[in-house]
Amino acid sequence: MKILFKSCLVLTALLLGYGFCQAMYIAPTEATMGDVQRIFYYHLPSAWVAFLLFFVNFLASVWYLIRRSVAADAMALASAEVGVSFCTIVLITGPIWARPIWGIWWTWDARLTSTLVLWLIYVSYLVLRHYASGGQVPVLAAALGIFGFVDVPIVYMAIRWFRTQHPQPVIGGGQGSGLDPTMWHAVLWNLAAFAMLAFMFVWVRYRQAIVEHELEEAHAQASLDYETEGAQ
Amino acid sequence: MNPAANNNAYLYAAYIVVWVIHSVYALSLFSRGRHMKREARELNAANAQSRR
Repeated sequence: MKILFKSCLVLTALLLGYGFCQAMYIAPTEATMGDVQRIFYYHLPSAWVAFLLFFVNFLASVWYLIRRSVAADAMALASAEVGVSFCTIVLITGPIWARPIWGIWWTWDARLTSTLVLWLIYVSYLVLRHYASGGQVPVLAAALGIFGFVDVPIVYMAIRWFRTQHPQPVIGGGQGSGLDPTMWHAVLWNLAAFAMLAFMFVWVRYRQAIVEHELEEAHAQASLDYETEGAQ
Repeated sequence: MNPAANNNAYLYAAYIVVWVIHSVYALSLFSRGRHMKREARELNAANAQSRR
C-alpha cells in the first residue's frame, strides 16, 4: 500500500508540474485578456473537481443513510473537506481574475452568488461535523450533504438560465462558445493534475477519519473498562 | 503588446493563492496524522498499564 501511495504521490507531482508548464508557457496567450486569462487553467479545473467531490459526498451520504456504514461516513467527510478547499480556490481565483477584466472584484450575479452559497453549505457541513457531538451528527451531516448537493446543478446551470456577468460556458454554450484546441490541452492536463491531487487528499483524509473513529471507540472502551474495574 | 497583458501581478497572485491553500491543507493533514499517531501510542500505553 505504501508503494502504491508513493507512486501516486510521484504521479501527482509530475502531473502538477506538467499542468503548470502547460498553463504558464505552452498554452497560447488569449487575444483580448492577455496573460491574466491563464488563471482560467486553475480556476475551471478546481471548480470541476469541487463539483465531483460534492457528488462523492452526496453518494456517500446516501450510502450512509441506507447502511450506516463507517466507511461511507468517512468518505463523506473526506470529500466534503477536500471539496471545500477546492471551492475556496474557485471563489478566490475568480475575483482575482475578475478585477482586471471586469473592473470589479465581485458582483451578485447568479453564478457567483450560487457558488458562494455552495461554499457556505459545505462549510456549515464541516462546522457541524467538527463542533456538534452525539450519535446523530453523521445522520444530520448526511442529510445536509444530500440537500446541499442540490446547489451544484444550480451553480452549473446558472450561466445558462440567467444573464450573468460571468462568461458563458466553454462546453455546450452554443454558438461562439468553446476554446482553442491548444487551450484544451492546458485545461485537461490541469484537470487531471487537480483530480489526482484531490484523490490523494481524499485518500489520506478518509484513512484519518477511519482511524479517528477507531480511536473514539477505543477511548470509549477504555473508559468503560476503567469504570467496571472501579465498581469491582 | 496588448495592454491587458500587463496584469501579470493578478496571475501570479492567483497561482500563489492556489498553492498556499493546497500547501496549508496538506500540512494540516500531516499534522493531524502525527497527532493521531501520538494519541494511538498513548492509548496503547495506557491500556497496557491498566492490564498490569
